[in-house]
Amino acid sequence: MIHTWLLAQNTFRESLRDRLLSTLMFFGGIFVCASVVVAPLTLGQQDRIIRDLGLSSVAIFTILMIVMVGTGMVYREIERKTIHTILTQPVGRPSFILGKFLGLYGTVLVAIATLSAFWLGVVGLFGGGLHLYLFEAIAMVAMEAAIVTAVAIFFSSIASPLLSAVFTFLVWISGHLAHDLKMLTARAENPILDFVVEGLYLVLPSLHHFHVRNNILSGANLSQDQMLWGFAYCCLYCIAVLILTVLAFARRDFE
Amino acid sequence: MAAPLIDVRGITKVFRSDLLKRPKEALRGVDLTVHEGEIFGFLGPNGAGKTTTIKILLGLIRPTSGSGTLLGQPFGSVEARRDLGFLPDSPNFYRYLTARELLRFFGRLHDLAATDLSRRIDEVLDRVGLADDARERQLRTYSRGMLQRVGIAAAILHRPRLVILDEPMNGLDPLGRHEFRDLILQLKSEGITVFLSSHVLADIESTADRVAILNEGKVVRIASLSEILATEERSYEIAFEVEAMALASFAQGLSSLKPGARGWIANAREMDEANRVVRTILESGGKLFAYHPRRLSLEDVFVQHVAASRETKAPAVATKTAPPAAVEVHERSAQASKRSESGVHS
Ligand SMILES: Nc1ncnc2c1ncn2[C@@H]1O[C@H](COP(=O)(O)OP(=O)(O)OP(=O)(O)O)[C@@H](O)[C@H]1O
Ligand SMILES: [Mg+2]
Repeated sequence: MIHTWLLAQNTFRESLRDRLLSTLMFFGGIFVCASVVVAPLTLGQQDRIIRDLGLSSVAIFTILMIVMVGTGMVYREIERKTIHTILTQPVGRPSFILGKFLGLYGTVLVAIATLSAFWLGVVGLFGGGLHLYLFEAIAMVAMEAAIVTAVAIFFSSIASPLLSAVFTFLVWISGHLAHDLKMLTARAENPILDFVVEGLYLVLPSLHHFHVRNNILSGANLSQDQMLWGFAYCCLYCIAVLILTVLAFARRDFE
Repeated sequence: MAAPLIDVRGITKVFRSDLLKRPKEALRGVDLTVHEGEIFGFLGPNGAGKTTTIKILLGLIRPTSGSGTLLGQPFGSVEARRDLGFLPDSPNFYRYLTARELLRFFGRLHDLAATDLSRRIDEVLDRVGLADDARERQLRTYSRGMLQRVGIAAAILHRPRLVILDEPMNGLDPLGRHEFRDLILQLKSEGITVFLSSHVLADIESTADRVAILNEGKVVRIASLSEILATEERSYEIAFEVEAMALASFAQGLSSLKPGARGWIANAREMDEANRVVRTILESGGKLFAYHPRRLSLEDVFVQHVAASRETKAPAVATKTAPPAAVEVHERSAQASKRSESGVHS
């Protein structure tokens, strides 16, 4: 366990020393704050738009960060052969994967905290003040990010950075659409279509659990059930993806 | 005798990297044992399969068939790695870490106590001679030889029972090589077993207790160094000058004949042969500059083993009647004998 922690620390340090991260944070910060400039154009809705645009920016830049920094994470180690020096230490392959995940997720949390600080600042000043539902929304973004991080690590350990970036992004988008798709096809009453969509729905992460836009717009707190469901789903999905990654990794040759 | 630290039985490895390319048979049944306390030299030409063998020992890749143990554990066991130091053929460490940070990281993965670790890190960095002012710089600013030194430091940091070094002399300057040779002997005196893969035969010859020569994925010779050097025939070297006409008359029967700084240098395996050559030189009015017997060096043995298998392969395709010695070699290698068959039919 301590080894996993050391590996996570090292991964964390690596991604913090990555220039890409600070660049993304910089632009993310600008986007979050830009909502203040755009909002006055929408008469009467100013508060809601500031809250909504800002949160979307936080979420999108978090995903961008995972896709850009995270998808090369494991692949790079194999490509640069640093994996030879690490997997010959007394470290099991599962610890390595888990360490990568935790380290990257640590970085993601730092990014979310930074962007959210901007968002909370802006909302506090111009978007109707600070409320509990804002913090709940941030927690939901963090849970969604955990799932996307696990997916990024999975692809990174079996495919090149470019492919994993594309796949991770696709999974994220379709994860958001999966629920709507299921609702639509349910009405069509076509058993084959149902079967396919049901299968996809099972495999893809159901990111609608973390969809909190309505609450943000209306300014209502989330239900305790929704929070708990989200948390449980996030944990289960991450564990499943990490187990899959460990299995894919266990038999691999590092040439 | 105690259980060997490395025990390899009939390991084969076939790489199937590409569906279109033919599978590459990198190892064809390697057997090895390395005992506690010895320095074991692992020799072989480029592409012989040394690195592949080492990666299998470490569990980085899986053998296609065969089995074995490392430090009494199956290959790839995490437990065995606690007592193992490893220097890869290209020391690629995390570039964004400094030498101290890297060793601290590795040291903690080996459960070394944080308080002793700083002292120990400086101790090993001193030992491999890494300049003081480099230790706080990120590794991406290091030269090849400096990385190599950090790699050696990392391999001995946790006082392992066994160190496996793949081409440790790479990138080291002459002084570095010299120091490194001493370091290996010191490790041995501390009771550490050293598995040393290298092209630098002089270094192996001056350090190793036992050697294995690997060629085309097979161990062609494994014995103690003294045994290898003693049992191999001696050779007789003759430096001389004769008329070109006379040269042809005795070139036959020599193991080698090549131009020297002045005249020619001949090598003969048998004393009778050497004497005959000397007699012919003198009788044909040539000049004899030198005549001395010499014991074969490890390099000669190496060249003999490796060259022998290459030479006997080539003519097999072209000629129908291979000489008996060559036939014998071929029968041991299925692939080669298949080739000679197809040569006969076409
Ligand atoms: N991933 C791979 N895919 C295909 N063939 C490979 C792969 N890795 C190694 N080989 C082949 O296996 C053979 C043995 O390679 P290996 O690296 O073990 O040689 P080596 O003895 O370490 O050589 P060197 O002295 O050059 O380091 C070579 O012919 C090499 O081309
Ligand atoms: Mg090699």
